[in-house]
Amino acid sequence: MFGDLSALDLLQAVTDGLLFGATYAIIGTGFALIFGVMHKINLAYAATAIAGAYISLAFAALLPMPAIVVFLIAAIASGAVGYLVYITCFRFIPTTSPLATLMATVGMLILIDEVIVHETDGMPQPYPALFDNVMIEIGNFGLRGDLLFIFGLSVVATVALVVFLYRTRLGVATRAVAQQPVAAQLCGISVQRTNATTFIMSGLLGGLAGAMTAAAVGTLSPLLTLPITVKGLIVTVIGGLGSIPGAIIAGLLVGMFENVALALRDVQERDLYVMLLLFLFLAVRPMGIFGKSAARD
Amino acid sequence: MQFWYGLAQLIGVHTILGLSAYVVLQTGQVTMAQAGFFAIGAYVSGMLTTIAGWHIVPALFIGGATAAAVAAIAGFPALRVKGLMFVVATIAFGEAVRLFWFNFTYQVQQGAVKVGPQGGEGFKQIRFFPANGWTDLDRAIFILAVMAIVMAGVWWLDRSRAGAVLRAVGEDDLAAQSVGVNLTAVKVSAFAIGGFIAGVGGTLYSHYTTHIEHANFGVVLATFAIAYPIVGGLHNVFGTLAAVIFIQGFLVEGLRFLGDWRNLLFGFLIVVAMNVSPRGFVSVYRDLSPYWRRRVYGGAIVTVVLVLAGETAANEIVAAVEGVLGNTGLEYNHMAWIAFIVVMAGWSWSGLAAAVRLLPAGLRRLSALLRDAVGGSAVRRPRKAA
Repeated sequence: MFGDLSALDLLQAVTDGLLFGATYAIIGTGFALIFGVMHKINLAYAATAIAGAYISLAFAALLPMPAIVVFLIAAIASGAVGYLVYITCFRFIPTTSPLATLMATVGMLILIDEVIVHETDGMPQPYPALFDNVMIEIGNFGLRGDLLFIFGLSVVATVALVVFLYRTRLGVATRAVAQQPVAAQLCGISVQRTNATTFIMSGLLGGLAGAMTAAAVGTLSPLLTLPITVKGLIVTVIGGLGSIPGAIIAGLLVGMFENVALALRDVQERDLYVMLLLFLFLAVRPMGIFGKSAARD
Repeated sequence: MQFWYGLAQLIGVHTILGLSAYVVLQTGQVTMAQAGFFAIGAYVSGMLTTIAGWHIVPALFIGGATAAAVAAIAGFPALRVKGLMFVVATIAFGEAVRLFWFNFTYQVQQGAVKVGPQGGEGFKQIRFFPANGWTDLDRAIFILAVMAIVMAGVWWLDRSRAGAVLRAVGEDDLAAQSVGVNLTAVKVSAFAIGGFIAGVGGTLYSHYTTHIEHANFGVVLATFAIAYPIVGGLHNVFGTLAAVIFIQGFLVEGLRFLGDWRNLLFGFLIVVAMNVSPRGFVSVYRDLSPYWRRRVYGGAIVTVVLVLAGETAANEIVAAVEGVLGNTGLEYNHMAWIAFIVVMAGWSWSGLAAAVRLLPAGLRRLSALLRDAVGGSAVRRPRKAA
């Protein structure tokens, strides 16, 4: 089965996959955050992330700046787009119509994608790489510097998110709304504002992930949104609905699995194996890694 | 007229696809697998008519039945999960079906050409309609007739006890279960019925385009399938039809003259539609007073009349202009007409009423006459004298 793949190549594939999986972990965390708080799916989320990366690119074209600033701009812009998605798709649609919200986010996904296509004439844009050709080499085994940085950045982002959720008043409010919106409201928490904050937070994460994906791939294209959306959903399901640690582990797992499948087979078959992994989880553990068993009927 | 026959076929096929998702959505499951069932119907019936030489009517049933059988088999494991899990599981299922046809080749020599599905190249030459000398009008009538039968069937299902059970499961499955409804049986049957309808739609689709390939049946088509009933509303089947006319007739075909801007407007108008009518078009219609309801039918009839008259008139105008100026390169664009008329009359009749009020008195008189003719209202809102 492994063909002429040596143990070292396999280790290399696993490591690269784990490092790249960090972006999936971040995207999955964003989905999980929104799902955890609002119990709704935001299908425009990956589009938000890509939109943030595009906006940062527009700023980078205006005046030269270091790549890390571009990343930060991407995160902030994506937070703003996330707020816009909240306003257009969640704020005014009654909670009793979850399907309408779902459809509105699909509309928003199409809208954001088309705005990008319209502005860039559908051409993929080069994205500034962080460190070109930085490799940490140990014999034949190498670590790509940019992937390592991306991994580090996503660890920082995750820690920041956990600190926000567990150490700040707004984080407590967010968790309260997630648990029991009516009770939270009775305690004087504004549900609308908390939900909006959740969207901004997940937008910040998404923008970071969008920029990281673009930096790792080297180009930014509106074609990225659909695969990222599907991958993000798969990560959320494998990790367990609304579970942030689950999303992180599942993201790393999917990234690793995908890269190993890529090394063993080829590009066309890669996604098929990810689907198989999903089916395996749905069959064996339908509630995901950290999900509650109540998710199953 | 060619264009209108084409549009009628498109609307018929997409309405059937939308109704297949409608049945499953009644049970509260957001299915992204309908494009997969649609693909199964399209390929299976295509093979029956081209390779086995069947007539389309039996092929329609076998295409639907195959899709229903696959749906029933896929339904048992897939329906064990709910909500987001179900969405993701059905996306994965749809993609798996698409990838199956991507890798499926079965070709037979027929005369000078080889027919049958050919993997990534797609399935060409599904020539049942042209080979049997069906005109565009025949096809449009056939497809609309099948659509009408399916609509009537789903409408009857809605009214029947079975429909009540489906809705009960959709509203609150725990409550339904506690009054003795077998959830798995209900959900799997709804899935199978949805699969059958999607298979029938797929059959019509493959025969009307004559060339299908795996890329036609991706996540985008699956999203369209659920978009129709959600945008239209889950109260009754006419919402799905209205939404197909809105999305395919107006947003996709009608706005073609806008070029690139059409795509921008598409997503935007979906967002607007969901904010304005979160429970679908049908619920908006239901909330109207009888006065405005009559205006909605009136609007629909006026739209059809104006579109047909408008096309002839506009062709005359273009011909007259070209007669004077020679070939100007001016081209009559039906789409501009539909866009204008459907926006004003069909989708938002009150918009037309408002515009009419702004027009000079003579025109207002004319429109009042027209409205009386088609609406025939007894209740007239008092108007200021002109």
